[in-house]
Amino acid sequence: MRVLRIYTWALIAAMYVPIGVVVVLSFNNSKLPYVWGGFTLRWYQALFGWDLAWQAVLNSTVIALGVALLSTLLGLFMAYTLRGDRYIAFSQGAVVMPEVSEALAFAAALSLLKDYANVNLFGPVGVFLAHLAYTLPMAHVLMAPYVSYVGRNVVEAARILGASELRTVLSVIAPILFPAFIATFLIVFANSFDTYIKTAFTTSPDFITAPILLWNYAARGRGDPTIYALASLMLIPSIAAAVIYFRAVKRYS
Amino acid sequence: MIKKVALVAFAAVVLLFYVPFLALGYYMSGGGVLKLPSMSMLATTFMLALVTAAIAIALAYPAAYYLAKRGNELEFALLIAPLWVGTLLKAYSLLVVFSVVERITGIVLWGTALGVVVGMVYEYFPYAVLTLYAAIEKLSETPTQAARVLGASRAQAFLRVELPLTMPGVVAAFILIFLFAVGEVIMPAVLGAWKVYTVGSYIWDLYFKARDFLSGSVLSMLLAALSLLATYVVVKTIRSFSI
Repeated sequence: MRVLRIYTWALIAAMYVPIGVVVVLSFNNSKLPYVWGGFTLRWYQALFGWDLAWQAVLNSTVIALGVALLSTLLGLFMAYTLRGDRYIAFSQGAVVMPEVSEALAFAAALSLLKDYANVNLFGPVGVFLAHLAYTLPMAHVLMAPYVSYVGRNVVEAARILGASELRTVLSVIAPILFPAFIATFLIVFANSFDTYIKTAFTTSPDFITAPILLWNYAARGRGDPTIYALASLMLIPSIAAAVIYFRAVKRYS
Repeated sequence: MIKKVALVAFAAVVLLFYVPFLALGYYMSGGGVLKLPSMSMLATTFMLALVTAAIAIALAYPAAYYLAKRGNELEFALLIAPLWVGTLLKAYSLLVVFSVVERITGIVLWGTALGVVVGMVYEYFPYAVLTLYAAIEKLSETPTQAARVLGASRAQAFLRVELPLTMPGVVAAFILIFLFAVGEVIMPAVLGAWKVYTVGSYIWDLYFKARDFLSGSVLSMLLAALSLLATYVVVKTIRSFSI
């Protein structure tokens, strides 16, 4: 067991090294990744002075906020009301679908709309809908185990004492599920903020998000300290999601 | 009222997620010249996916075993947390690490199949840990103790009792990772520098470069069907084994 413990910690270390390297290099006062030129904040200054990056991060944040709020709320309602296996199977199937096929399907649907109904949704609306399409099932699947944690008797007690259905949800179920709600919200937010493939298939050239900006450098294999700074900032939602998720899970165990 | 909202939301899932596949069907029914991926591309994709799944599981099994038996919450959280870091961010981090490695040791990883495998193992490792952990944690101590009482050594008890009992979990993890890896786009593109060409990259190029909806649709539909089938199998295996 001792060996296994050391092994596990070695793996943990290996998982965080690449991310750590990028964060460290974003403070490196040298353009070369293998030369340490001292501590600097100038890449962050360059990033904050870069209008395109602001626009990209802002776009990503707005889309992710909207998508996360809507899909977590609707996911909660779905998990609460539609408890049958049939319903959850639809969502589970959606969660494991390969990204590229679902993105192509969405792009095909959008281009059909464009060709036959003359509605061009490529751009912010398309990106929003494409993100919603896969965050809704994700929120549903994530919320389902926590909703089953709320006992039927609590709900029935509230209903017998005269609370309306909406009131029961708001004053009884919502407080119990609040940690799970926040955790799901953050996971969905981080996922929507980070996703590249679905955005690429549904966006228009003038609507840019943070992952698209990152991709423009990554796909050409280009290292750039300003992009390291961008990547480091993009880690924040993921870290927040991870920390809050594990805290929330603890409350239900 | 809640029920109505939930039904509307569920309708939205079907409408936004599953209905677009009909659009793929529409493009398929339109006919045209089907450009199928070459055998070498298929071979590359399947080999990459197989190797990735095998390595990820081999690396994850001991860790999942430890987590299920003695691990604490922190260790579990630290191993699973990278799930929430985006694929592109991981790929970009590895790209930087590869350039440092190349400079120091002279080993070229960028643009090679090995680099892509490293990237995909890095990405899918937490999935392997989660699935295997679920399988190992459910294992009761009784069969192992019986084997030990009957004179099996620790290694024998593990190899002949515990490992076979957790095989459904291994199979589930394998199918899951294999499936994700077959449709992978980002890692081959970023770490393989488009030199390691997979079916995922091919679908990507069919849309972005060739604007060929027909061939892309056929491949995507196949991938989606494969995914649903595999999920069904995984769910069945896990269920049958938990009883």
